[in-house]
Amino acid sequence: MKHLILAMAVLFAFVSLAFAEGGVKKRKPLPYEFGSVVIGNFSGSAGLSPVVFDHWIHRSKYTCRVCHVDIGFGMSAGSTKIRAADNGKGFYCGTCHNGKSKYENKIIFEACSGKDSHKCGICHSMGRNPLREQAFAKFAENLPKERLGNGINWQLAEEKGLISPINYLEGISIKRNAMSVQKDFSLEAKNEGMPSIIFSHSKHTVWNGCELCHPDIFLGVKKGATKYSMIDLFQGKYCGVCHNKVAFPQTDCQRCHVGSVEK
Amino acid sequence: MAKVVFDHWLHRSQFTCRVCHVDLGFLMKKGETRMKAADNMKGYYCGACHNGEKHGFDPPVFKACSIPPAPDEMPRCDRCHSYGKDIKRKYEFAKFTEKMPKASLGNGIDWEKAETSGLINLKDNVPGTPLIKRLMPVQKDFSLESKGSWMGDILFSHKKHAKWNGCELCHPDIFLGVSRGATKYNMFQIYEGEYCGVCHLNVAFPLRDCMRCHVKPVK
Repeated sequence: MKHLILAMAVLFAFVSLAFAEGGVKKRKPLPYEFGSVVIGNFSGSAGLSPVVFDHWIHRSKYTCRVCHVDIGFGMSAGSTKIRAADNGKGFYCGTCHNGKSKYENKIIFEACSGKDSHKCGICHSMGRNPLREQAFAKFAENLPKERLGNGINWQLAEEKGLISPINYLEGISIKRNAMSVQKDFSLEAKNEGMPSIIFSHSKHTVWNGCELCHPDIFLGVKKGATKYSMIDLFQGKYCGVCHNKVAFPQTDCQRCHVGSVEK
Repeated sequence: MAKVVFDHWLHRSQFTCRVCHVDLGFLMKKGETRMKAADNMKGYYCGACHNGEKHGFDPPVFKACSIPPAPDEMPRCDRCHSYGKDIKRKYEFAKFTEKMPKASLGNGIDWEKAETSGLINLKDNVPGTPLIKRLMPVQKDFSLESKGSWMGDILFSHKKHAKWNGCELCHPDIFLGVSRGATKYNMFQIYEGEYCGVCHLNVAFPLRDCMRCHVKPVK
């Protein structure tokens, strides 16, 4: 029995070592790959390649809120568990991709209709869409540059009116009076000598409204009510729900830690 | 095409490690980045600087990769695809580093001193991309207790590291925690190329320069 416990302890030690985080550098996606999500919950069983969803093309046209609140997409790859039938009924991708809705007077192609099998590859494109990269390069050409992520300063692109993300979908979104944008506030950094964070509500609400973040991601709406650390963020919680995967990555330290050094 | 021989010494004399390993996204092990000629031609990886433009250098930085290369371009291919070839190099190590402060092991150069004494002046942004708007204040140096009784404790200098790496080359990928003690590791892992060993095996001064980190007197 003792041997068994010892053997299990050794095994556990090895397993935890193998899965321990950190230690090596992770691959940084290229600008056109940043924010790409591979979705393959059911694709394989339908004999199709997984879907490659590009955030950049969608976020250049719509706010994050429209898809992640009004339509209800989850925030991590595969978590929404979208089925072709859902899209066919007008849920998820099918909300817009229904062959009827329009963007800039052009009909948006229908998702998962089953009518036109050569169209499946537009989304079910894992590993075989060389045009994505070209399309991205053309799109990004005239947008303000940034060091990391997509290499685009999305915030500036929006402020300058180079993109005007749509925040309302007819028949899906509810039109109410806009809430007044809450004030920016500072968050004290936990490590000595680290500048405090200035969190800008106004920069976030353009894309997210209130309800993308509250109450799911940040339960409290009062400052200090939700406790979290950088480790949580690095593991994809709180700010890390968006920042690293789609919004500018957390390696852009100085973009949040802007405040004066706390004494 | 012969394999590419990439010299860190030449590049690190001009740029911080951060520029290439964070902004350009080069990984930290040979072959891991899997860049293609097409990537370079589109301005990614090597092609971010090696695009025939000046970027403050004279003559301009030579262009990396053309597919297919014209016959008269072949000598340019050889500048990088030089493994096993007898190529006359534009910059010879011995001549280039003649005046650099000397150190044992590694390149035989005290890179840190070369930088602090102004012999090398490192650029910290990729040409054509915005500069880092504000610099983070450098965190304090700290000591790490050595696990062996025969070894002095380590004095880790954030200041010396941040000059080359910023914060983001090491955090959070290599050292997840930014609070001291949050990341646990040992010399075995370092020898395997993890943690400090990501750099201090291949490019930064080697691990067998024990006393350069274990600087404190043995208790």
